[in-house]
Amino acid sequence: MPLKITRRHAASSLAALLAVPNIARAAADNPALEAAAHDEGTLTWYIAQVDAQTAENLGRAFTQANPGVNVGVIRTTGQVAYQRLLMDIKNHTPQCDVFSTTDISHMPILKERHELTEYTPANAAALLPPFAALSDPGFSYVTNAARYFLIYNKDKVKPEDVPRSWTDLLDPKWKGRVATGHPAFSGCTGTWALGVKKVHGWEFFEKLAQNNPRIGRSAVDPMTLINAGECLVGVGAANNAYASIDKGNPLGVVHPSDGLVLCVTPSGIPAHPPHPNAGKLFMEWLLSPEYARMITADGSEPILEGIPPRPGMPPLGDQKVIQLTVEEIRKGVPEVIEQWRDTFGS
Amino acid sequence: MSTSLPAIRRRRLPFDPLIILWVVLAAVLIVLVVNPLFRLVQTSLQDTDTGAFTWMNYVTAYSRPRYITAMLNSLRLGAGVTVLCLLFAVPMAWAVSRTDMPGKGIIRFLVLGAFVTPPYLGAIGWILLAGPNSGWLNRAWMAATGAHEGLFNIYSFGGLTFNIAIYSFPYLFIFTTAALDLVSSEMEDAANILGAGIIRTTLRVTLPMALPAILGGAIVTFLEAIALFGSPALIAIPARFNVVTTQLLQFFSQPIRAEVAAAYAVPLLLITVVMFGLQRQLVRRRGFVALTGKGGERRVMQIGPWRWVMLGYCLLILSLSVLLPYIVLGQAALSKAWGRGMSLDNLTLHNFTYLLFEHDTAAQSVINSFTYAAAAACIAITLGLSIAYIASRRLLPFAGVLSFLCMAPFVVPGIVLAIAFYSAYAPPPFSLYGTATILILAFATRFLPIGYANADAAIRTINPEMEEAVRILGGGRLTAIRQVLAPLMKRNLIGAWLLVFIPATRELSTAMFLYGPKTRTMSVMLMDMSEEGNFESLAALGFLLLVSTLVIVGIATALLGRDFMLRREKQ
Repeated sequence: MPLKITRRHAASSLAALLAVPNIARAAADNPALEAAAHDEGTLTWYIAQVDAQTAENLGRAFTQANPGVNVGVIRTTGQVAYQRLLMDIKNHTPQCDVFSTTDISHMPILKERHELTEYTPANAAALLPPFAALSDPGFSYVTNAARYFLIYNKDKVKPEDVPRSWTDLLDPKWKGRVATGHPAFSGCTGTWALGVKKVHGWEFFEKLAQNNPRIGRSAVDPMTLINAGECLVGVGAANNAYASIDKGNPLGVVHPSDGLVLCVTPSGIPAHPPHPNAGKLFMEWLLSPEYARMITADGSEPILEGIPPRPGMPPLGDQKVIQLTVEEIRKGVPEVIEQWRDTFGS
Repeated sequence: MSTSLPAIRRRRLPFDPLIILWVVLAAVLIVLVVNPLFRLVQTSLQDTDTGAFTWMNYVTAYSRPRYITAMLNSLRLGAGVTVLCLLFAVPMAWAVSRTDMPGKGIIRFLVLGAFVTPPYLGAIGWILLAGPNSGWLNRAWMAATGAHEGLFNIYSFGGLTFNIAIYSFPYLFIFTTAALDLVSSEMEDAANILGAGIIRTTLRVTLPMALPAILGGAIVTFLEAIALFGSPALIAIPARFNVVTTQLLQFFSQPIRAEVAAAYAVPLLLITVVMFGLQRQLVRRRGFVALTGKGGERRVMQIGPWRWVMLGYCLLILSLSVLLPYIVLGQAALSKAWGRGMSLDNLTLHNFTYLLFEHDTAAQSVINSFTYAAAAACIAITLGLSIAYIASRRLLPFAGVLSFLCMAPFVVPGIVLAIAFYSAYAPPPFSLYGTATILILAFATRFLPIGYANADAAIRTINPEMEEAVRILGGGRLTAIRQVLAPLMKRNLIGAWLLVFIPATRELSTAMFLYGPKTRTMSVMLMDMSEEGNFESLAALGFLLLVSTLVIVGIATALLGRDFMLRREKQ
């Protein structure tokens, strides 16, 4: 009998162990990893999804949760981060401990080249099903997702003129006033262009070219131009847009009726990280509720179970979303980049 | 008078143990200049995977119309910028150097302002000024005339050309004033006596005397313009055209094709070599005997009411280049959200405190920029000085070759040099990728010609007899250098050091390819911030850069007791 009780105890505490990460910090469960990470003392994070200030804040929050482990944040656009990682690999000078990109197809390519470390964070099971489906168990996990939708300047665009769909951007009244990022730099912009191409065909972009859009590099660029009134309408990511609205900028957002695109950020550990343990601890943290709450506050999607979305944001379930598979993105984005250069000239 | 002297001296002293030191210096030069360029050419002829010999990289690099268009765009851009700079700098240099125009001090100071302003920072200032819809100038124009469209569009080929020109002209200004400062008035007087007016004298006598300097400056301007990365990234990409530098970066996106990039860059090298060859031909055929630096009375020309016209012209250009952009950048730097415009509740100092105390990498990038630039300046000056000394005292055979190598980086656009360094030192066995060393070496190489040219000029002013006196009295060559040469040249060298240091603090095109996570410079940081539209912090960082540079220049000017940059050739 006592044996049975013990077993039951063991089972329940095991269940608690599995459940606990949903509530408490996952890393707290792994003192050995924490100690090893502490010995390494630092890690380098290549990150594309958020702006530098947010990325630094995230890094600091990690250090607060794990004193003695500092985060060196290298924030740039997804394709540029990937380019740097490839240059690191090519020159056998590994720098990056955790790689977070905005082009989800980078991960399968890296995995096939054996350039990813195999690691399963304790809290991986808490990922919401749609994001778990886009993750590659043991190698890369979705750690951010943001709606890619229409943004406009509230002060300068009359309510009746506010665009409601992507095709509204083709209206000649926006000539010279539409802003986008560049797929060769921004992974999100590549995913977005692919999604719109899937629904409307490449003709959409040929028509858009006639409207003489202003093409920046990052997905954040359009927001800057629209805030300034240089452009009036454009394409933007929710997390950047809401952060900018919170700052007091005159920015409005619209969920397009022909479907928004979800820009998904996977994270993984490169094959030969200089700080493997700190990298693992950081991966644990990227899947922690604390982190998930921080990014939803800025307007990213809740990626874990039990995390509420940013107050006031319409639920994602009510929105039309253009669905793209990893395979489609992998094949489609390089094509889109080439087509983009041919159509837009740069 | 001293032409036969070196030969005699060499016979008298057949072996100097210091020759080992000189050989070491020469070896360093080979590492910095010869090897990277050799590797660049070699890489361009290698297959990406197998390393086998191939011409295919050249085929790939020049087979697509888009790539060729980018190359042609750059050549057009370089030519346009050079012409504009000639129009800006030469009249300004003439007015400052040869006429009685008032306000010369202010003009020199503002030119210094333009010189220390990184072109990409100026580009951002001009995006805020001449964005077709929201730019301050365009809004003012629309408000004044009721027009629906702005007057200027910075996002155009013309816009980019203009923008680069207003930040590139100081080179030409420095070269031209330096030369004009040395032209004595005797020839101008002769022309006057023979009945020529001011304009005719200037065009037929004064300016032709400075022709070698003007040509040299024009070539440097051209090379700088086609080597720039920041301004085209900020302006040409939205304006939807490519230039060489933005195209080269594309070769480094997946899959990385460093070999194709090298092949794409090699013809650029040939073009610049040809240009310098042409310049030498042009200069060699004429005599420029007045530029002896000796004697001759110099008087400024009395140009009457025209002096106000000239002042107006100089101020116009300098407001475009310095005053207006810094006003808009100032507004952004002090704003919570720059899109909200000027208002009290939008005013904040947070961007500065954020950069200095909260941002993890901004402070480090500032430190990086200044330490790398300082280290690079020390290397460039030491090396330049040593080689200039070897060459002028003929301590080694083939000293002429060494001087040529010191000047060789001059013909290499910055971005090509970066790729050459990347090819030579990024992969094993050196594995310098992402280290401070590779950045410092690249900066030192890039600005070695400035260091050498200045050191050479300084050494030429010193008669070898003074050192010989030391040596006759039993002192070694090092004693002579330490006790005689160094004190005599101290001022010139501080000036030369600054001329390397300032452009090195803002260098972007080489840093772009060579920086790593720990070695980001301020220039790279500014580009990253521009990418994410963080103009408030960016403008604040730009001001920090400007102020720190001006402080350093101020200290140096106090040390020198004179204006280092603009009169370095005088006295």
